[in-house]
Amino acid sequence: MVDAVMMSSHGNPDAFSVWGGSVSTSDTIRFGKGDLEIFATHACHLLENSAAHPVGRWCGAFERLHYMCGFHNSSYSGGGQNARGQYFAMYVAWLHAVIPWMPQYTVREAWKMANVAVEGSDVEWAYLRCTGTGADTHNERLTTSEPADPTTNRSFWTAHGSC
Amino acid sequence: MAIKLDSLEIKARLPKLPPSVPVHALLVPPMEERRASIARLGERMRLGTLRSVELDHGIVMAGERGDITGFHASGAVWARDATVGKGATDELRKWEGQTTESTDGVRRVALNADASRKLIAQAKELLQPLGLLGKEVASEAAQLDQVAQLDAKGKQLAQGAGQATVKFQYVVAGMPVRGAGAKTLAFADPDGGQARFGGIFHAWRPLGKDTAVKLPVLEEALGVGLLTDPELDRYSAAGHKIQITRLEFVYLALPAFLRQIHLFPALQVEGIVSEGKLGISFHFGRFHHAAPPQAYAAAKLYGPYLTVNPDGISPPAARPVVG
Repeated sequence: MVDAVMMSSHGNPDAFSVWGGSVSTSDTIRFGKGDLEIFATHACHLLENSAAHPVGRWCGAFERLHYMCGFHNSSYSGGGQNARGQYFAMYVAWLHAVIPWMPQYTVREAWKMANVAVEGSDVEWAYLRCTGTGADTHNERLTTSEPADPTTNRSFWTAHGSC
Repeated sequence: MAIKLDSLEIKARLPKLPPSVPVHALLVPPMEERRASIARLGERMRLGTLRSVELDHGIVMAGERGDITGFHASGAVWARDATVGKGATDELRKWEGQTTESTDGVRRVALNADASRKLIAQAKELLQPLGLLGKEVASEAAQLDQVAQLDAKGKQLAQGAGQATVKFQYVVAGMPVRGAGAKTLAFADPDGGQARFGGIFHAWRPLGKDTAVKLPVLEEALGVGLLTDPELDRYSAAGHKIQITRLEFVYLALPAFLRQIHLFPALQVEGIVSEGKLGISFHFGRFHHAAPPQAYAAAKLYGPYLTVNPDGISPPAARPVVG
Protein backbone atom coordinates (compact mmCIF):
# COMPACT_ATOMS: atom_id res chain seq x y z
CA MET A 1 0.00 0.00 0.00
CA VAL A 2 1.33 3.40 -0.97
CA ASP A 3 1.10 6.27 1.54
CA ALA A 4 2.65 9.07 -0.50
CA VAL A 5 3.01 9.70 -4.23
CA MET A 6 5.04 12.39 -5.96
CA MET A 7 4.46 12.64 -9.69
CA SER A 8 5.80 14.80 -12.48
CA SER A 9 3.35 15.64 -15.19
CA HIS A 10 1.67 18.62 -16.76
CA GLY A 11 -1.54 20.29 -15.72
CA ASN A 12 -3.98 23.14 -15.69
CA PRO A 13 -6.39 24.26 -12.95
CA ASP A 14 -8.84 21.45 -13.73
CA ALA A 15 -6.75 18.48 -14.84
CA PHE A 16 -3.37 16.77 -14.84
CA SER A 17 -1.93 14.39 -17.37
CA VAL A 18 -1.20 10.72 -16.71
CA TRP A 19 0.05 7.94 -18.98
CA GLY A 20 -2.49 7.52 -21.74
CA GLY A 21 -4.76 10.39 -20.75
CA SER A 22 -5.62 12.78 -17.98
CA VAL A 23 -7.47 13.09 -14.69
CA SER A 24 -9.87 16.00 -14.32
CA THR A 25 -12.28 17.45 -11.80
CA SER A 26 -15.16 16.09 -13.86
CA ASP A 27 -13.88 12.51 -13.36
CA THR A 28 -14.86 10.40 -10.35
CA ILE A 29 -11.66 10.46 -8.35
CA ARG A 30 -11.29 8.66 -5.03
CA PHE A 31 -7.82 9.50 -3.78
CA GLY A 32 -7.13 7.51 -0.63
CA LYS A 33 -9.55 4.71 -1.50
CA GLY A 34 -6.58 2.41 -0.82
CA ASP A 35 -4.10 3.93 1.59
CA LEU A 36 -2.89 7.10 -0.11
CA GLU A 37 -2.45 10.03 2.26
CA ILE A 38 -0.26 12.42 0.27
CA PHE A 39 -0.53 13.22 -3.43
CA ALA A 40 2.12 15.67 -4.64
CA THR A 41 2.63 16.87 -8.18
CA HIS A 42 4.55 19.57 -9.98
CA ALA A 43 1.70 20.08 -12.48
CA CYS A 44 1.30 23.84 -13.06
CA HIS A 45 -1.75 25.74 -11.72
CA LEU A 46 -3.39 22.55 -10.41
CA LEU A 47 -4.16 24.14 -7.04
CA GLU A 48 -4.75 27.67 -8.30
CA ASN A 49 -7.13 29.38 -5.90
CA SER A 50 -8.71 32.40 -7.58
CA ALA A 51 -12.14 33.80 -8.35
CA ALA A 52 -12.01 32.09 -11.75
CA HIS A 53 -10.71 28.81 -10.32
CA PRO A 54 -11.70 28.24 -6.67
CA VAL A 55 -9.60 25.38 -5.32
CA GLY A 56 -12.67 23.70 -3.79
CA ARG A 57 -13.07 22.03 -7.20
CA TRP A 58 -10.64 19.33 -5.99
CA CYS A 59 -12.34 18.57 -2.63
CA GLY A 60 -14.50 15.87 -4.21
CA ALA A 61 -11.35 13.92 -5.08
CA PHE A 62 -10.53 13.33 -1.40
CA GLU A 63 -11.87 9.91 -0.42
CA ARG A 64 -9.48 9.44 2.50
CA LEU A 65 -6.62 11.55 1.17
CA HIS A 66 -5.00 13.96 3.63
CA TYR A 67 -2.91 16.26 1.43
CA MET A 68 -2.84 17.35 -2.20
CA CYS A 69 0.39 19.30 -2.84
CA GLY A 70 0.95 21.33 -6.00
CA PHE A 71 1.17 24.89 -7.32
CA HIS A 72 -0.95 28.03 -7.47
CA ASN A 73 0.81 29.20 -10.66
CA SER A 74 3.43 27.78 -13.04
CA SER A 75 6.25 25.65 -11.69
CA TYR A 76 9.48 25.44 -13.71
CA SER A 77 11.84 23.00 -15.35
CA GLY A 78 15.25 23.70 -16.79
CA GLY A 79 16.73 25.57 -13.84
CA GLY A 80 17.66 22.69 -11.52
CA GLN A 81 14.14 21.64 -10.54
CA ASN A 82 14.73 17.92 -11.23
CA ALA A 83 15.55 17.36 -7.55
CA ARG A 84 12.15 18.58 -6.28
CA GLY A 85 10.90 15.10 -5.29
CA GLN A 86 14.22 14.18 -3.67
CA TYR A 87 14.13 17.30 -1.49
CA PHE A 88 10.47 16.75 -0.61
CA ALA A 89 11.32 13.21 0.55
CA MET A 90 14.32 14.56 2.43
CA TYR A 91 12.40 17.22 4.33
CA VAL A 92 9.26 15.18 4.96
CA ALA A 93 11.00 12.05 6.30
CA TRP A 94 14.65 11.30 5.49
CA LEU A 95 16.39 14.05 7.47
CA HIS A 96 14.54 13.15 10.65
CA ALA A 97 15.26 9.45 10.04
CA VAL A 98 19.03 10.01 9.82
CA ILE A 99 19.12 12.77 12.47
CA PRO A 100 16.54 11.56 15.01
CA TRP A 101 17.06 14.54 17.33
CA MET A 102 16.16 16.97 14.56
CA PRO A 103 12.53 18.20 14.80
CA GLN A 104 10.61 16.59 11.97
CA TYR A 105 9.04 18.84 9.34
CA THR A 106 5.29 18.66 8.86
CA VAL A 107 4.00 17.63 5.42
CA ARG A 108 3.04 21.23 4.56
CA GLU A 109 6.42 22.61 5.72
CA ALA A 110 8.29 19.94 3.74
CA TRP A 111 6.40 20.74 0.52
CA LYS A 112 7.07 24.45 0.97
CA MET A 113 10.76 23.90 1.76
CA ALA A 114 11.37 21.54 -1.17
CA ASN A 115 9.95 24.14 -3.53
CA VAL A 116 11.78 27.04 -1.89
CA ALA A 117 14.92 24.95 -2.52
CA VAL A 118 14.31 24.43 -6.26
CA GLU A 119 12.14 27.31 -7.52
CA GLY A 120 12.57 31.04 -7.97
CA SER A 121 10.57 33.26 -5.65
CA ASP A 122 7.91 34.21 -8.22
CA VAL A 123 6.60 30.64 -8.16
CA GLU A 124 3.90 29.87 -5.56
CA TRP A 125 3.73 26.47 -3.84
CA ALA A 126 0.22 25.41 -2.77
CA TYR A 127 -1.55 22.64 -0.91
CA LEU A 128 -5.07 21.55 -0.08
CA ARG A 129 -5.56 19.46 3.04
CA CYS A 130 -8.54 17.66 4.49
CA THR A 131 -9.07 17.54 8.22
CA GLY A 132 -11.74 15.84 10.32
CA THR A 133 -12.71 14.53 13.74
CA GLY A 134 -9.86 12.47 15.17
CA ALA A 135 -7.65 13.26 12.15
CA ASP A 136 -6.22 16.76 12.50
CA THR A 137 -3.82 17.09 9.56
CA HIS A 138 -2.47 20.57 10.37
CA ASN A 139 0.73 19.24 11.94
CA GLU A 140 0.73 15.86 10.19
CA ARG A 141 4.12 14.25 9.70
CA LEU A 142 5.08 11.25 7.60
CA THR A 143 5.74 8.52 10.15
CA THR A 144 5.98 4.74 10.23
CA SER A 145 2.63 4.43 12.02
CA GLU A 146 -0.62 4.58 10.07
CA PRO A 147 -2.47 7.89 10.69
CA ALA A 148 -6.23 8.20 11.17
CA ASP A 149 -7.99 9.36 8.01
CA PRO A 150 -10.23 12.45 7.90
CA THR A 151 -13.60 10.91 7.08
CA THR A 152 -16.08 12.52 9.49
CA ASN A 153 -16.93 16.20 10.09
CA ARG A 154 -14.59 17.10 7.29
CA SER A 155 -13.36 20.53 6.31
CA PHE A 156 -10.50 21.69 4.11
CA TRP A 157 -7.65 24.16 4.42
CA THR A 158 -5.64 25.57 1.56
CA ALA A 159 -2.61 27.83 1.44
CA HIS A 160 -0.28 29.20 -1.20
CA GLY A 161 2.79 31.35 -0.91
CA SER A 162 6.07 32.45 -2.37
CA CYS A 163 8.92 30.06 -3.11
CA MET B 1 13.10 18.96 -36.14
CA ALA B 2 12.86 22.28 -34.33
CA ILE B 3 9.83 24.43 -33.53
CA LYS B 4 9.38 27.21 -36.07
CA LEU B 5 9.44 30.64 -34.47
CA ASP B 6 6.43 31.79 -36.47
CA SER B 7 4.40 28.84 -35.18
CA LEU B 8 4.57 30.24 -31.64
CA GLU B 9 1.86 32.61 -30.52
CA ILE B 10 3.93 35.14 -28.59
CA LYS B 11 1.82 37.18 -26.17
CA ALA B 12 4.75 38.51 -24.16
CA ARG B 13 6.90 41.54 -24.84
CA LEU B 14 10.09 40.40 -26.56
CA PRO B 15 13.29 41.17 -24.66
CA LYS B 16 16.17 43.05 -26.30
CA LEU B 17 19.44 41.17 -26.13
CA PRO B 18 22.71 43.10 -25.93
CA PRO B 19 25.57 41.99 -28.24
CA SER B 20 27.46 40.63 -25.25
CA VAL B 21 26.85 40.08 -21.55
CA PRO B 22 29.19 39.82 -18.55
CA VAL B 23 29.25 36.29 -17.16
CA HIS B 24 30.28 36.50 -13.52
CA ALA B 25 32.26 33.96 -11.58
CA LEU B 26 30.36 32.75 -8.51
CA LEU B 27 32.27 32.17 -5.29
CA VAL B 28 31.72 29.71 -2.48
CA PRO B 29 32.72 31.25 0.86
CA PRO B 30 35.20 29.03 2.73
CA MET B 31 33.59 26.67 5.25
CA GLU B 32 35.52 28.22 8.15
CA GLU B 33 34.08 31.63 7.33
CA ARG B 34 30.60 30.17 7.07
CA ARG B 35 30.89 28.24 10.34
CA ALA B 36 31.31 31.52 12.22
CA SER B 37 28.20 33.11 10.71
CA ILE B 38 26.24 29.87 11.18
CA ALA B 39 27.20 29.81 14.86
CA ARG B 40 26.14 33.46 15.26
CA LEU B 41 22.86 32.75 13.45
CA GLY B 42 22.17 29.87 15.85
CA GLU B 43 22.76 32.24 18.78
CA ARG B 44 20.58 35.02 17.30
CA MET B 45 17.74 32.54 16.70
CA ARG B 46 18.29 30.99 20.16
CA LEU B 47 18.42 27.48 18.76
CA GLY B 48 20.34 26.13 21.76
CA THR B 49 22.89 23.35 21.52
CA LEU B 50 23.30 22.04 17.98
CA ARG B 51 25.04 18.80 16.93
CA SER B 52 26.61 18.59 13.47
CA VAL B 53 26.10 15.88 10.87
CA GLU B 54 27.89 15.84 7.50
CA LEU B 55 25.53 14.88 4.68
CA ASP B 56 26.01 14.82 0.90
CA HIS B 57 24.27 18.14 0.32
CA GLY B 58 25.61 19.99 3.34
CA ILE B 59 26.45 20.15 6.97
CA VAL B 60 23.35 20.00 9.16
CA MET B 61 23.49 21.33 12.71
CA ALA B 62 20.40 20.27 14.60
CA GLY B 63 19.02 20.49 18.09
CA GLU B 64 15.66 20.20 19.82
CA ARG B 65 14.65 23.76 18.89
CA GLY B 66 15.68 23.78 15.25
CA ASP B 67 18.42 23.32 12.72
CA ILE B 68 20.82 25.07 10.36
CA THR B 69 22.09 23.66 7.05
CA GLY B 70 25.19 24.98 5.31
CA PHE B 71 25.07 23.83 1.67
CA HIS B 72 28.41 22.49 0.40
CA ALA B 73 27.88 23.39 -3.26
CA SER B 74 27.04 27.05 -2.83
CA GLY B 75 27.66 28.19 0.74
CA ALA B 76 23.91 28.84 1.11
CA VAL B 77 22.40 28.76 4.58
CA TRP B 78 18.99 27.48 5.68
CA ALA B 79 18.00 27.95 9.33
CA ARG B 80 14.81 26.99 11.11
CA ASP B 81 13.40 27.73 14.53
CA ALA B 82 11.00 24.80 14.91
CA THR B 83 9.33 26.37 17.95
CA VAL B 84 7.80 29.23 15.93
CA GLY B 85 4.10 28.69 15.28
CA LYS B 86 4.16 25.43 17.25
CA GLY B 87 1.01 26.22 19.25
CA ALA B 88 -1.07 27.22 16.21
CA THR B 89 -4.01 24.98 15.40
CA ASP B 90 -4.34 26.12 11.79
CA GLU B 91 -2.60 28.23 9.15
CA LEU B 92 -4.39 31.55 9.81
CA ARG B 93 -2.34 34.37 11.35
CA LYS B 94 -3.49 37.82 12.41
CA TRP B 95 -1.04 40.54 11.38
CA GLU B 96 -1.08 44.15 12.49
CA GLY B 97 -1.50 46.28 9.38
CA GLN B 98 -3.17 43.46 7.46
CA THR B 99 -5.18 44.66 4.50
CA THR B 100 -6.77 43.32 1.33
CA GLU B 101 -5.54 44.41 -2.07
CA SER B 102 -6.89 43.71 -5.50
CA THR B 103 -4.69 43.48 -8.59
CA ASP B 104 -6.17 42.53 -11.98
CA GLY B 105 -9.29 41.29 -10.21
CA VAL B 106 -7.31 39.00 -7.89
CA ARG B 107 -7.86 39.66 -4.16
CA ARG B 108 -4.97 39.01 -1.81
CA VAL B 109 -4.31 39.69 1.82
CA ALA B 110 -1.24 41.86 2.29
CA LEU B 111 0.53 44.07 4.80
CA ASN B 112 0.05 47.82 4.47
CA ALA B 113 3.09 49.92 3.59
CA ASP B 114 3.98 50.73 7.20
CA ALA B 115 3.72 47.12 8.43
CA SER B 116 5.71 45.89 5.40
CA ARG B 117 8.44 48.44 6.08
CA LYS B 118 8.68 47.40 9.73
CA LEU B 119 8.85 43.69 8.89
CA ILE B 120 11.52 44.22 6.22
CA ALA B 121 13.55 46.36 8.63
CA GLN B 122 13.33 43.64 11.29
CA ALA B 123 14.50 41.02 8.78
CA LYS B 124 17.45 43.21 7.74
CA GLU B 125 18.38 43.72 11.37
CA LEU B 126 18.71 39.95 11.69
CA LEU B 127 20.39 39.22 8.34
CA GLN B 128 22.82 42.09 7.72
CA PRO B 129 25.11 41.71 10.77
CA LEU B 130 25.47 38.02 9.89
CA GLY B 131 26.52 38.77 6.30
CA LEU B 132 23.39 37.04 5.01
CA LEU B 133 22.39 39.68 2.46
CA GLY B 134 24.22 40.05 -0.84
CA LYS B 135 25.28 43.55 -1.88
CA GLU B 136 23.43 43.10 -5.20
CA VAL B 137 19.99 43.15 -3.48
CA ALA B 138 17.72 45.25 -5.70
CA SER B 139 14.26 44.74 -4.28
CA GLU B 140 12.65 43.82 -1.00
CA ALA B 141 9.07 42.87 -0.25
CA ALA B 142 6.94 41.30 2.46
CA GLN B 143 4.38 38.83 1.17
CA LEU B 144 1.75 36.93 3.16
CA ASP B 145 0.76 33.32 2.56
CA GLN B 146 -2.84 33.19 1.30
CA VAL B 147 -4.94 30.89 3.47
CA ALA B 148 -8.56 29.75 3.15
CA GLN B 149 -10.82 27.35 5.00
CA LEU B 150 -13.41 25.40 2.98
CA ASP B 151 -16.39 23.31 4.02
CA ALA B 152 -16.79 19.60 3.22
CA LYS B 153 -18.09 20.43 -0.25
CA GLY B 154 -15.31 22.89 -1.04
CA LYS B 155 -17.19 26.15 -0.45
CA GLN B 156 -14.98 28.85 1.05
CA LEU B 157 -15.77 29.63 4.70
CA ALA B 158 -12.94 31.99 5.60
CA GLN B 159 -9.98 33.66 3.96
CA GLY B 160 -6.97 35.28 5.57
CA ALA B 161 -3.24 35.58 6.01
CA GLY B 162 -0.71 32.97 6.98
CA GLN B 163 3.01 33.21 7.57
CA ALA B 164 4.87 36.16 6.05
CA THR B 165 7.84 35.87 3.71
CA VAL B 166 10.30 38.73 3.46
CA LYS B 167 11.90 38.43 0.01
CA PHE B 168 15.16 40.01 -1.09
CA GLN B 169 15.80 39.70 -4.82
CA TYR B 170 18.88 40.41 -6.87
CA VAL B 171 19.93 42.34 -9.98
CA VAL B 172 23.36 42.14 -11.65
CA ALA B 173 24.55 44.52 -14.38
CA GLY B 174 21.00 45.82 -14.70
CA MET B 175 19.57 42.34 -15.35
CA PRO B 176 17.26 40.51 -12.94
CA VAL B 177 18.63 37.28 -11.50
CA ARG B 178 16.06 34.49 -11.33
CA GLY B 179 15.99 30.91 -10.17
CA ALA B 180 16.26 29.20 -6.81
CA GLY B 181 19.70 30.66 -6.06
CA ALA B 182 18.63 34.26 -6.59
CA LYS B 183 17.10 35.06 -3.24
CA THR B 184 17.37 35.65 0.46
CA LEU B 185 14.19 34.88 2.40
CA ALA B 186 13.01 35.28 5.98
CA PHE B 187 9.83 33.51 7.12
CA ALA B 188 7.95 35.14 9.99
CA ASP B 189 4.99 34.63 12.31
CA PRO B 190 3.31 37.54 14.13
CA ASP B 191 4.34 37.86 17.77
CA GLY B 192 2.61 40.77 19.46
CA GLY B 193 3.55 43.96 17.62
CA GLN B 194 6.75 42.38 16.29
CA ALA B 195 7.45 39.34 14.17
CA ARG B 196 9.27 36.15 15.09
CA PHE B 197 11.41 34.57 12.40
CA GLY B 198 10.95 30.83 12.03
CA GLY B 199 13.14 30.41 8.96
CA ILE B 200 15.99 32.03 7.05
CA PHE B 201 17.17 30.98 3.60
CA HIS B 202 20.13 32.79 2.08
CA ALA B 203 20.88 31.24 -1.30
CA TRP B 204 22.79 34.08 -2.97
CA ARG B 205 26.35 33.32 -4.08
CA PRO B 206 28.92 36.16 -3.97
CA LEU B 207 30.19 37.37 -7.36
CA GLY B 208 33.75 37.20 -8.65
CA LYS B 209 35.30 38.63 -11.81
CA ASP B 210 33.34 38.76 -15.01
CA THR B 211 34.05 37.68 -18.59
CA ALA B 212 32.23 39.03 -21.65
CA VAL B 213 30.29 36.41 -23.61
CA LYS B 214 28.89 37.19 -27.04
CA LEU B 215 25.16 36.78 -27.50
CA PRO B 216 23.33 35.91 -30.69
CA VAL B 217 20.32 37.94 -31.85
CA LEU B 218 17.03 37.02 -30.14
CA GLU B 219 15.81 34.71 -32.91
CA GLU B 220 19.03 32.68 -32.66
CA ALA B 221 19.00 32.80 -28.84
CA LEU B 222 15.55 31.23 -28.88
CA GLY B 223 17.00 28.47 -31.05
CA VAL B 224 19.61 27.58 -28.39
CA GLY B 225 16.97 26.10 -26.08
CA LEU B 226 13.35 27.06 -26.46
CA LEU B 227 12.88 26.16 -30.13
CA THR B 228 14.77 22.90 -29.68
CA ASP B 229 13.02 21.96 -26.43
CA PRO B 230 12.31 18.27 -27.20
CA GLU B 231 9.03 18.12 -25.32
CA LEU B 232 7.55 21.32 -26.75
CA ASP B 233 8.79 20.20 -30.17
CA ARG B 234 6.83 16.94 -29.81
CA TYR B 235 3.63 18.84 -28.98
CA SER B 236 4.20 21.35 -31.78
CA ALA B 237 4.80 18.55 -34.31
CA ALA B 238 1.54 16.91 -33.19
CA GLY B 239 -0.36 20.12 -33.98
CA HIS B 240 -0.73 21.63 -30.49
CA LYS B 241 -0.56 25.43 -30.41
CA ILE B 242 2.09 26.92 -28.13
CA GLN B 243 1.39 30.29 -26.61
CA ILE B 244 4.25 32.18 -24.94
CA THR B 245 2.97 34.37 -22.10
CA ARG B 246 6.29 35.37 -20.54
CA LEU B 247 9.69 35.77 -22.16
CA GLU B 248 12.40 37.53 -20.15
CA PHE B 249 16.14 37.84 -20.53
CA VAL B 250 17.65 37.14 -17.11
CA TYR B 251 20.61 35.67 -15.28
CA LEU B 252 19.92 32.20 -13.89
CA ALA B 253 21.08 31.24 -10.38
CA LEU B 254 20.77 27.50 -9.79
CA PRO B 255 19.52 25.88 -6.55
CA ALA B 256 21.75 25.98 -3.48
CA PHE B 257 22.55 22.26 -3.66
CA LEU B 258 24.09 22.55 -7.16
CA ARG B 259 27.62 23.63 -7.95
CA GLN B 260 27.55 26.74 -10.12
CA ILE B 261 30.63 28.81 -10.78
CA HIS B 262 29.26 31.05 -13.57
CA LEU B 263 26.20 33.28 -13.40
CA PHE B 264 24.96 32.82 -16.96
CA PRO B 265 22.27 34.49 -19.10
CA ALA B 266 19.03 32.64 -19.74
CA LEU B 267 15.55 33.06 -21.11
CA GLN B 268 12.75 32.70 -18.58
CA VAL B 269 9.72 31.42 -20.41
CA GLU B 270 6.12 30.68 -19.45
CA GLY B 271 3.40 29.51 -21.76
CA ILE B 272 0.39 27.37 -22.48
CA VAL B 273 0.19 24.34 -24.77
CA SER B 274 -3.29 23.87 -26.24
CA GLU B 275 -5.34 20.68 -25.94
CA GLY B 276 -4.81 18.33 -28.86
CA LYS B 277 -3.79 14.90 -30.09
CA LEU B 278 -1.31 14.30 -27.27
CA GLY B 279 -3.60 15.36 -24.44
CA ILE B 280 -4.90 18.18 -22.26
CA SER B 281 -3.96 21.83 -22.41
CA PHE B 282 -1.23 22.67 -19.91
CA HIS B 283 0.82 25.53 -18.56
CA PHE B 284 4.60 25.39 -18.46
CA GLY B 285 7.55 27.32 -17.05
CA ARG B 286 11.06 26.87 -18.43
CA PHE B 287 14.57 28.22 -18.19
CA HIS B 288 16.60 27.90 -21.37
CA HIS B 289 20.07 29.06 -22.33
CA ALA B 290 20.36 32.35 -24.23
CA ALA B 291 23.94 31.74 -25.41
CA PRO B 292 25.16 28.58 -27.17
CA PRO B 293 27.98 26.43 -25.70
CA GLN B 294 30.29 27.75 -28.46
CA ALA B 295 29.95 31.29 -27.08
CA TYR B 296 31.15 30.13 -23.65
CA ALA B 297 33.98 28.09 -25.19
CA ALA B 298 35.09 31.18 -27.17
CA ALA B 299 35.28 33.05 -23.84
CA LYS B 300 37.15 30.06 -22.31
CA LEU B 301 34.32 29.35 -19.87
CA TYR B 302 33.36 25.75 -19.30
CA GLY B 303 30.88 23.92 -17.08
CA PRO B 304 28.32 21.15 -17.50
CA TYR B 305 25.40 23.59 -17.07
CA LEU B 306 26.92 25.79 -19.83
CA THR B 307 26.92 22.90 -22.30
CA VAL B 308 23.43 21.50 -21.75
CA ASN B 309 20.29 22.65 -19.99
CA PRO B 310 20.73 22.15 -16.20
CA ASP B 311 17.76 19.75 -16.14
CA GLY B 312 18.79 18.04 -19.38
CA ILE B 313 16.01 19.64 -21.46
CA SER B 314 18.06 19.57 -24.65
CA PRO B 315 17.66 17.77 -27.96
CA PRO B 316 19.30 14.29 -27.85
CA ALA B 317 22.08 15.46 -30.20
CA ALA B 318 23.15 18.13 -27.66
CA ARG B 319 23.39 15.74 -24.72
CA PRO B 320 26.78 14.22 -23.88
CA VAL B 321 27.07 10.58 -24.94
CA VAL B 322 28.98 8.17 -22.72
CA GLY B 323 30.28 4.80 -23.89
